This record gives sequence, C-alpha cells and structure tokens, in this order.
Amino acid sequence: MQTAPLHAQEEKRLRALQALSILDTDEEKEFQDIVEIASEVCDTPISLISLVDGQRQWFKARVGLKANETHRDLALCAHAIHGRDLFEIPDADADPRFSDNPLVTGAPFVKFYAGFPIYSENMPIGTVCVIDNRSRKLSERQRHILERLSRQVARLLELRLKNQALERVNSDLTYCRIALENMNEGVVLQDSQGVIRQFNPASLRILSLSEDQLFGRTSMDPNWKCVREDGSPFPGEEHPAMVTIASGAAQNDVIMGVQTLTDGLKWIRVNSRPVRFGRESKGFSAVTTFADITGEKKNQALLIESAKMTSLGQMAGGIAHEINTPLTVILANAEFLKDDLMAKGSENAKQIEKINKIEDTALRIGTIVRGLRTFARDGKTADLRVVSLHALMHDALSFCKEKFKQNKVRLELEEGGDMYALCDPTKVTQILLNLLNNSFDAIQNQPEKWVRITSFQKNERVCFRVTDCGLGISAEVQERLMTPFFTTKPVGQGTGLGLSISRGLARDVGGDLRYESFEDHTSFVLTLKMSEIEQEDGNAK
Amino acid sequence: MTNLKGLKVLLVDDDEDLRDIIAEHFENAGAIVEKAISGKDGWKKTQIFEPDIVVSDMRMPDGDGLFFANCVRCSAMSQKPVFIVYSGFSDVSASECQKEEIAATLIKPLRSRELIAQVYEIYAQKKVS
Repeated sequence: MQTAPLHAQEEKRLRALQALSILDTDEEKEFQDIVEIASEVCDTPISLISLVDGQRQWFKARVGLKANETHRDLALCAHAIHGRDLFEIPDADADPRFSDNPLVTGAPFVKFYAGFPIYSENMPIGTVCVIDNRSRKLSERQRHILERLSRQVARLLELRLKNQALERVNSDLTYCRIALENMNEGVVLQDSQGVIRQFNPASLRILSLSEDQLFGRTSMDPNWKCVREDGSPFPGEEHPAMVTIASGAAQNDVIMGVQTLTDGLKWIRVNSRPVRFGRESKGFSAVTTFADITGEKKNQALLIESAKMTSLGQMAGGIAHEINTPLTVILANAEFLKDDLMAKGSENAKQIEKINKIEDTALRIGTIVRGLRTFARDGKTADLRVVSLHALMHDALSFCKEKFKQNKVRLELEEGGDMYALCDPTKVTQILLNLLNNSFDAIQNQPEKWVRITSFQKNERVCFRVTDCGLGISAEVQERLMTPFFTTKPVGQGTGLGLSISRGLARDVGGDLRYESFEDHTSFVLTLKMSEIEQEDGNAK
Repeated sequence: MTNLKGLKVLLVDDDEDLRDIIAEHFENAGAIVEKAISGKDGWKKTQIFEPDIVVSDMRMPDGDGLFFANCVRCSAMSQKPVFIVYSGFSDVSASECQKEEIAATLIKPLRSRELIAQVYEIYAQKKVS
C-alpha cells in the first residue's frame, strides 16, 4: 500500500484548514445537499466531503458511509489533494497503490474513486468525492458537475470565514457599544463639517440634551452657550472638536462651561482627536470625549473662596491693627489742639471747626477699616456678644455706603428705637453686607433704585429686613435660592455662594436667614437671638 | 477740664507718638504720668512708680497687655493699679480681660477725651471707696 506523501506546503495547508474552525462540527444541510447531489448525479452509493487533517480525514458530509473519519494513511483523498484536477481511480484492485488498502480489501470495498480538491485560501484542504463498489469512469457531464460542486463547497467555506469575521466584528462592536453606553464620559463624533453624527448616552446626560437636540448639531449652532473658565464666551469655531477638524491636531483637557437649559451651567473637560473615515479621504473628523467636572469645579471654587476669605480676614485684621494706632495718634493730637484753641477763646471757631473735620474723618477711616474686617470671614468660631442692631447696621453700611451713593441707589434706614441681639457681630455684619450687595446687583435695571433696612422684634427674636425695589423672586428661583452655587447673575459675576454662606453664618450664631416677599418687593429677613439687656461691655462702646 | 490732680498714671505703648500725645492729655488733666514702651518695661516701672492707673496698649512686642496685667495681678503688691487697655483689633476676649481683672477695654481709634473720662470715673469711684 502506498501512503500519500504530505503536501508540499503541508503546514500552511493545515493552517488554512484550522482557520475554518470546521473540523468536528455538526452536520450542516448546505454541505449534506452537496454530497447527496454528487451521489445522485454520479450514481454512486458513497459520496463525501472529506477534509484532510494532519493525522486523519474527517467527513463534513457523507452519503453511504457510517464512519465519520479514517486514518490519513488510508485516505484516497490524501492523494487527491495533490492536484488541481479530478483524481480518479477506475479500478482500485488493479491499481498497485491501493489494491491492498484495507478500505479496498474490506468495507466499504472501494473499487472506484473520483475526487475534486476543495481549495480554501488557495490551499487544498480536502475533496468532494464519490466512491463505488464497481469499476467504472465518470462521464464528462458528471465530472463537470463534481468539479462545480467542489467549487461550491469552497464558496461555502469562504462564506463561513466571512461570517466568522463578521461575528468577531459584531462581538467587538457589542463590547464597544456596552463600553460607550456605560461610561461616565461623553463621547461625540463629528464629521469633517463639524456635524454631530454619533454620541453616547453620557453625552446627553452631561449636556442635558435629548437625542433630537444633539443629533445633527454643529459646534457653530447658536444654541450652544459656552464659556471659558474666565467667563468669556467660547465661540463655536474655537471648540476643541472644531480646532481638531480644522487643523488635524488633538486638543487636550480643554475646560469649557456649557449653559444647559435645565441644569444651569455645567463644566466639562474636553479632549478631541482627529480621525479619518474610509469614505472621506479629505479632511478630518473628530472624536471628542468629555467629563463632567461641575462638582469638581464647585469644590475647587468653595476651597478658593474660603481660602480667599480667610486670608482676607487675616489681612484685614492686620490692616485694622496697623491703621488704628496712627489714627488714634491723629485723633489725640487733634483733640489736644482743640483743647488748646478752646482754652484761648472764641476767635478760633473756624480752626476748631477744621479740627472737628479732622476728628470726624479719622473716625470714619476707623469705621471703614472695621467694615473691611467684618466683610471677611475670619474662620473663627462664633464669638457671641450683645450688640446693638443700629451698630450692626452702621458697620455694614460703612463698607458699601459709598458704592450705593455713587450708583444712585437710595439707602433707607429705619432709625427707630434700638434693640440688642446676642450674636457674633463680625458674622452678622457680613450677612448684612451680602444682602445689601445682592440687592445692589439685582436692582441695577430698575428705574428707581432703593434698598431699605428695617429692624423689628418677633417671638423673642430680633430681625433685620432688607427690602429692595425689585419685584420679588419667582417660586422656582426661591426654591434654589440658598443652594450653594445657585446664581442668577451673569456667568463670572456671582459665585452663587453669598446667600448660602450668609445662611450658614446666620445659623452659626443661632439665627436664620430666609426669603420673604414684602409689600410685593424682594425682601430677606435675618432673625437673631434677642438680648434683653445692654451688656456692660467696653467693646460695645 | 477733667481734674485728675495727683493721680499717678502709667502709659504703656510701643508707639512713641501715641504714648507722648496721650501723656500730654493726662498731664493737662493734672495727672502725674510715667511712660513705658512694652509690657515688660511697664511691669518694671510699675514696681518703682506704683501707679494708681495703668493705661496700656494690648498688642506690643516684648510683653503684651495681658502679660503685663498678669504680672501685676500675680504680684505681691499691696496697692495694685487699675488696668485700662486699648486694642487695635479684637485680639482680646472679654473673658481674658475679666480673668486679668482689667477694668475697661477700649477699641482704637479712641478719643482721648473718652479715655480720660473713663479714668476719671474709676478715679472718682476709688476716692469714694
């Protein structure tokens, strides 16, 4: 018996066979049909699709044979894969190569064999063959059909490969989709014209937009209201994606503020990369990823704010100390001169008047310095004292009186009977200042500008009411008024911290701060603990 | 003019200008004035001068107002002076002042007239008692 030699490129051939992942798979109708056609057309009891593996031949489809594989050494097909054409053995008994082959001498008693090689990736991986128990030859027609059937198998295998590739792509795509849908960062794809073509759910969430709103938009769309960190506008053509599309250069960690319709200003950190798509050989498209850093920014702002306030408080303390000593020197000298002039008689009235001016001015400087000090949060815990409401009011006013006057905002003070609160004057003055400054900003567009401060007593508490000419605050805004970072001021003008800090300060000293419309005007009420008696305290004088 | 005739006042302030002008005010009112430039200096001079009243700045290098008041309070002096301190900033609390038996605390900028009035009040009370 002659064993078929190995193929000249046996290793490559085996790789091509392995690549099909077909060995030992279940029966498939497409392949079964082919062997049935072959058997019928060639009028043979046996027909096989035989795949020649390293040590065996394995049958993907078979008619008339029980075994699904045989040893390769016995395989007639191992001979057939050496040529491109039909391999035919008309009479195996008469052929010395096969006459003693157990498949010839025993079951299935092969007498006649005809097989066409099947090629995959240009390698003969097996055959379509027909087998008979009698000696014969294929007719021209049968031969042609068998050849075409072998090509058909090759095509099925090719499709199988493509399907497998598609499945791999599909599963890759599924992974991509799962990743994209579940990531925290927004991913947006823009074509070379800047039109948004694809995006993930996080994009919609971060930008507070619906699919319809985002799809097809460009960076140039006027609906984007974007700002830079310094609050200046961020025009569409300078958005990272547009820069990337125009220049082909990646943009890294660009910070952008996006004004959303429903969730206010959101901060994002944006990265964009240039990409090219097969069909658009010209120009770049852009893949942009962005993370929501609004929370991060807020914490940062809060830290900066508190650090700023603390250092301002410390500085103001230093300034107050440094300035008050020379002020006292000025005052004492002025008083000395005045005493001297007064002792000499009445002809010095004019000089005395001037000296009074010097004294008044020195005292005013002292008040301003004190106002500056109270403006800053000094980080100390509440230092509760008994303070007159009038003193608190005047302390706060000393710091902003000039600003109001210059901007023609009328300040109305109710100068009724004084009352006393148990509070930390530094903190209360700051709250009043915050309220006054808020009013000042809010009424800039009113025709007649005024702010009124009144004080009153209610349920064992003393209260300040700061009312301005504004016509109240809408219910929605009221709801969020005291939330940190909520602001109605233009971007870059308000921190949204004023009221929340103020309320925090008020609660620190056992009081509270709330919005309350008053006679149809915007009004805030600050309640404080009341003190019945004026404490004998040098500091209060 | 408030009369502080014969009252011994020790003025303690590290600022020379302020020390001098306040001293002049007290002298005009008839007080006998001694000056010191720090808490330590003040304590030294208190033992020699034996003032009725001490008027001291709070924040000074080389012994601040509280240190000075503490020295006096803890001393064995038979006639301890009354303490009035003034401060440029709220760098002293009411409880600290109480602990050191400081009679009054004033905040700068202060008016000499008020300071002298305060001293007179204490002086008058002392005389009565």
